[in-house]
Amino acid sequence: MTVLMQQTTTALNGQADAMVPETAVITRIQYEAPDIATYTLSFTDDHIREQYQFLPGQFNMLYLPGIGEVAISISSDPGQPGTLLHTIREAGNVTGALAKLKKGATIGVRGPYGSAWPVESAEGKDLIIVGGGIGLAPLRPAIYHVIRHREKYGKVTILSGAREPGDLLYPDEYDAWREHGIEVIVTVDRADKNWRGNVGVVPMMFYKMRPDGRKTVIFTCGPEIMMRFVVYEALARRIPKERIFVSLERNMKCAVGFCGHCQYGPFFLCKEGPVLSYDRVEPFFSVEEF
Amino acid sequence: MLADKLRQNPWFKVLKPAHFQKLVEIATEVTWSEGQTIFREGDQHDYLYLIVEGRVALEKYVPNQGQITILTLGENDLFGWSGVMPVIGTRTTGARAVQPTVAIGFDSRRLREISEADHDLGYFIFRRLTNVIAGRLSATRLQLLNMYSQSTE
Repeated sequence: MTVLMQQTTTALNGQADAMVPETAVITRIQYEAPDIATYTLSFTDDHIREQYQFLPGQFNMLYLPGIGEVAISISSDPGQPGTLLHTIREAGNVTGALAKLKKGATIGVRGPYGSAWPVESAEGKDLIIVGGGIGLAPLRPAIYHVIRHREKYGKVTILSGAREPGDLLYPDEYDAWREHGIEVIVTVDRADKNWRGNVGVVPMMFYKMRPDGRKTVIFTCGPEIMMRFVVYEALARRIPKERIFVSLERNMKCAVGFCGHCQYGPFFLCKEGPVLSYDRVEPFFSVEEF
Repeated sequence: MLADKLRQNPWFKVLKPAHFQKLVEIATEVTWSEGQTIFREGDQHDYLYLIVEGRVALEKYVPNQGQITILTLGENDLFGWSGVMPVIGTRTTGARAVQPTVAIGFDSRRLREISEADHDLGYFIFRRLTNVIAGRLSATRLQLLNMYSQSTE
C-alpha cells in the first residue's frame, strides 16, 4: 500500500514566523468529563480565521503568556476550519491555567503542526478507529472527514473506551456517527450495575469484530499501553504493520523539529509525528523509557 | 434446535461429529431475562455457559460500593469456566443478564468426565478454555494498570 503521510510542518497558513503565536478568543467551553473540556477558539485576525486549515490528527501549540505553551491536538472538523476545537484535559501548569479561563479570554495559538491520519490512502478500505480516553480527541477530525466522504470507505468501526462511563468522550455524538453507517463500540474498564454497555478493556473489543486483514486500516490514539495491545490484536488478525497508524506524544516544545525535546528514536514527533505507521515505530514501541 | 445453535459457534465447527454429539448430549439451552441473576460469587459450580445472544455482566461485590461489573460478555463468549477447573470450588464472580440472554449450558461435572474418558476431546475443550482464560488474564492486567490515569503535559 502506498502510505500517504500528509505532513504540514509549517505554522499558521502563510505566517512568516512559525514561532510567533496568533491571538485567538475562547468563544465556548463545553465540559466533557471530569477535568476535560472542549474549547472553541476563534482567531481575532479575520484573514487568519478565514485562511486557517488543518489536517486530521494535527496539533496546535496553545500559549498562555507568563505560563507557557502546550501541544494540543485539534478535535474539530477539518471541513469547517473556521471553527477550531481543542479538547483538553487538566494535567499540568498550562492546561491547569487554561481550565481557569472563561469564555471571552484570549490565548496564543500557533500551528497546525505534525503529520496527519492518512485518510486519503485509507479510501476504499475498511477502517477501524480506536480511541482510549482523551485519545479520541485527535481522532475526531478523521471521523468527521470519513463521515463527509463516507462513500469512499468500506466498513467503518469506532472503538471508544474510557475508565468509567462518565469519562467517555463525545458520547452525545455516537448516535449521529451510527446514522452514517459507522459501527460504534463503546467500552469502559469499570462500571456499576446501572451501566448497560460493555465492560472490558478496549483491545478486548477486537473479539467482537471480524476484520478482514487484507483491506483494513487502523487509526489508534490513547495511552501507549493501550495502543500496544491494539497493535497486538491487529497483528493477530493479519492487518499489516504499514496499515496500523498510531499517534504518539512526547514533550513537544518548539513544534518545528528544532529543539529535540520530542525525539523518539530517529523521529521528532512534532514534525514527523505525531501520526506514524507501526512499521516505522516498531523498533522503539516497546523499549522501556523511550 | 440446540445442535444447530452450537454449530453456529466457530468453536464447534471444527469438531469431529462424534465429539460434537458428546457435547450436545450434556448441553441444555437456558434463557435469562434482563437483570436476572445467573449465579452469585461463592455459589457451587454447575454449568459452563456459551452465550448465543444477549449480554452478561460478571460482577464482584465490593463492601461499601455494591456490585461492580468487571467484564461484560456477548455472543459466542464463554463464562463459568471455573466450574470445569474447580481449583477454588466455588464461583469466583457473580453473573447477571444485562439484556435478555440465551445461552447453552454444559454440565461441568460431565464435561470433566468426558474429557477424562476421551483425551482428544478433553484436549480440544481445555485448549479452548485456556485461550479464554489467557484472554481474560491479559485483559485483567490491562485493567489493573489503570491505563487512563492522569498523565502530565
